Amino acid sequence: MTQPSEVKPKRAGYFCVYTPIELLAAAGATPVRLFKGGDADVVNSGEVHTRSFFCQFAQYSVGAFREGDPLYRSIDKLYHFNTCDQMKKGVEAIGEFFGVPYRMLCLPRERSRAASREFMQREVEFLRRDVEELTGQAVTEAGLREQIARYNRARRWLREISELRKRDDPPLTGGEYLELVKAFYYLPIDKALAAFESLHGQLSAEVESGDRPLRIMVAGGIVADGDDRLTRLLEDELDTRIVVEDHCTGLRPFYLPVPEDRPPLQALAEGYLDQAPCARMKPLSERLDFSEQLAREYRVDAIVYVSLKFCSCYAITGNSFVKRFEKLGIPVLEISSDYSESDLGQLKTRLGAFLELLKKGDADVRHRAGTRRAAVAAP
Amino acid sequence: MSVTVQGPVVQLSRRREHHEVSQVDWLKSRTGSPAVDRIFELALSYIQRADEAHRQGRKVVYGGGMTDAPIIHATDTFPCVFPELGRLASDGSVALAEDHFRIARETCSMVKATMGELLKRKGLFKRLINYCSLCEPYNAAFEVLKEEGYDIYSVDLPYRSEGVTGQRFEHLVDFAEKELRGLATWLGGRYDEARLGAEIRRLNRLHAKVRRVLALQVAHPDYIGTLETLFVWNGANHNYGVPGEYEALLDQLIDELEAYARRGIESTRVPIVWAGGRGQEFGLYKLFDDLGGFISSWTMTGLLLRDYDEGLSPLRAVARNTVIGMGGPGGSKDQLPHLEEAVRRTGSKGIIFYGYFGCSFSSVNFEVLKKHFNALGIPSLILDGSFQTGDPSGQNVTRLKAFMEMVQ
Repeated sequence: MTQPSEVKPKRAGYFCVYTPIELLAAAGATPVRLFKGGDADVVNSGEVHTRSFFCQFAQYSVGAFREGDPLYRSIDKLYHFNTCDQMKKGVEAIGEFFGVPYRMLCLPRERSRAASREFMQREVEFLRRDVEELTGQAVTEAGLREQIARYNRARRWLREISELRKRDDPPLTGGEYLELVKAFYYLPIDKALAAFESLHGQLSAEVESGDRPLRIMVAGGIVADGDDRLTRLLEDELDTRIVVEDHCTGLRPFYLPVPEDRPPLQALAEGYLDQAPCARMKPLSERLDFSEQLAREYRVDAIVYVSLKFCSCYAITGNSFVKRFEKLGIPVLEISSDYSESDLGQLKTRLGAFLELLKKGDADVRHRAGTRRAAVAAP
Repeated sequence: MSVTVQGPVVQLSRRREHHEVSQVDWLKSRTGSPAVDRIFELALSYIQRADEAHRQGRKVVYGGGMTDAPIIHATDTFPCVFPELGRLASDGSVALAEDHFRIARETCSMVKATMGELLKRKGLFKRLINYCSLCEPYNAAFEVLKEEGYDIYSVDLPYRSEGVTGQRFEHLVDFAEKELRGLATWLGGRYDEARLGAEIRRLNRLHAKVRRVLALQVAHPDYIGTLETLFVWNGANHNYGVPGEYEALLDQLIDELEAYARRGIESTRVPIVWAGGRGQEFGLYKLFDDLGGFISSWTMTGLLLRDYDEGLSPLRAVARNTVIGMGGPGGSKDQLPHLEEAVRRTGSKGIIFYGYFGCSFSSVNFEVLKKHFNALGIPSLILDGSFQTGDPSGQNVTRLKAFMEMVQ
């Protein structure tokens, strides 16, 4: 007979940061964020069950199941709050073609409406019932509160570590920060907490050099685990420093904690709705406000706005983003990207030219940055 | 008899602008059905009449072609729907959207064509309804359109994924009902239940008549063709802004079809189910007729002809149909029973899945549905088309010809 200690915890997979992982953990499941990307071969594999004009991250996600990626195949059930069309349809394709059980839940867009908040709470309750069924373990209020507190501690550490990047010479690179984000999603949360605390101590003690590299904010769609082309180019080859990220695999999801002063299911519903918004949420102005706040807070010199090809949310709203920052006098380079290697040289040239203008303090740079889309989109 | 057109029907070598003129010519042509001729006239004058209604101080809104129709009519609002707006949109509208909004070229043509048209029309009425779960590119595009001064109400519909029934389904309807009450208030200032109830009964009556037209056409497909059926169907909810006249035309068309049926003329046309969008590639529909086929069911969008439950409160009935009937919010397999029923009922020989290139939600739906029908031995074809006016792509023409040869 299997002893309780030998029972392997169920692995609850999820893609987007609107999934309340505290609830999964409180039911005894191991939350696993699936956010790998960057490999064109896996994308091609996923295209078999989608279409050529499907978002590259969604195609990769389908392809990873098709290719038998061990992390993806280890998932017992997928939980998906329907964020964007591509991801929800990607999840349905994974269920249909690879037999992976999934539960689709709704995520309101108009987050300020009372009906949306009430509806979201009911959705979180449905999630609770479903994950309890998966694990056979009831979620208790005390257990859920404990998980909320634990994940909030991790969020606070990540935010505090990020704040060290407000220094003129940040003690860690943007690439290193993304590694910490991976730790949050891949490691058991207690191990991640211990690592964050220790790292924060070490980084805080570092003495500033007096240098001030060019400070970049990367904003836009998901920067997947494995999609490090841009980060490498900016930091390793072009000698700039990514000091903050306004995307869902950087600082953004850790910026605001889940409230701890109200009933936990309500707290999860409100906390997740109120997190720093993705471009999928409405109104767009709130997302732009948040981007502006980050840019000011981290005193960025310029922004690289990246949208994956066929990402409706970030591609269509990109122009509004650029216009907002043009008004603020912060140059933006807008890039439409994918996971192929073929445009690496082109990307490097564009980034190089953009940064060269910035370094020269070219007064015309804002205008040129603002017209990048046409050039980037050209074949 | 089918549409009588002046000159060759589909000349793919012709320049695109010739086809835009040709599309209007088709709608101006005499079909042999006086009722359809008048419906074509209503379609041709529809947007102009919406503009005129606005100039005369009537409430006009972009929307009303779907399950929201009773709410729009009940608030004395003139509905101006996207598919008809799309009939005005050319490649120029798409280029305008790409240029002005810097929308990437890979974005769905329906969204770009609509954006371009709305930009051109921004001096006119500016109220617009957005259904959040229908389409991601539209969600983003409408946020951008707000910057052009558009007053947009987003109905935050829930996504009804596969297998959602019982308590959870009712929970989705609860939310939709609240959102639709917000829409009714936004449109009319207050929610008038009695008016909405009357509109539901009227639309149920109209839907029954449209279904009767479609049934008669399936039994005797030579009297009216695909394009004619499409325009009858298109008006089912918005009524081209003239509910009384539209209903009278349905009665007239039913009389015409019944008279034709009594003549006992046999047809050799091959019935095919059409699933998915209804683009403006008129040549494709006409080619379909020319190849000896006819569309026996406009499934998916056909769900919009579902009766509203008169046993429920009117708003609940609209909410229920909205959660069930709007193609976008449903799971990929959601359309299976409806498609199976359509194939069975009409004896159809195959299914055409038609979506717009770049459509973010229909693509996986089609792959899932195609897999199912392949297993059943029912042929199907996925076509990626475009929303704006213009000839069908050569690739689609070739594929449609090959498909029709196969099923015949």
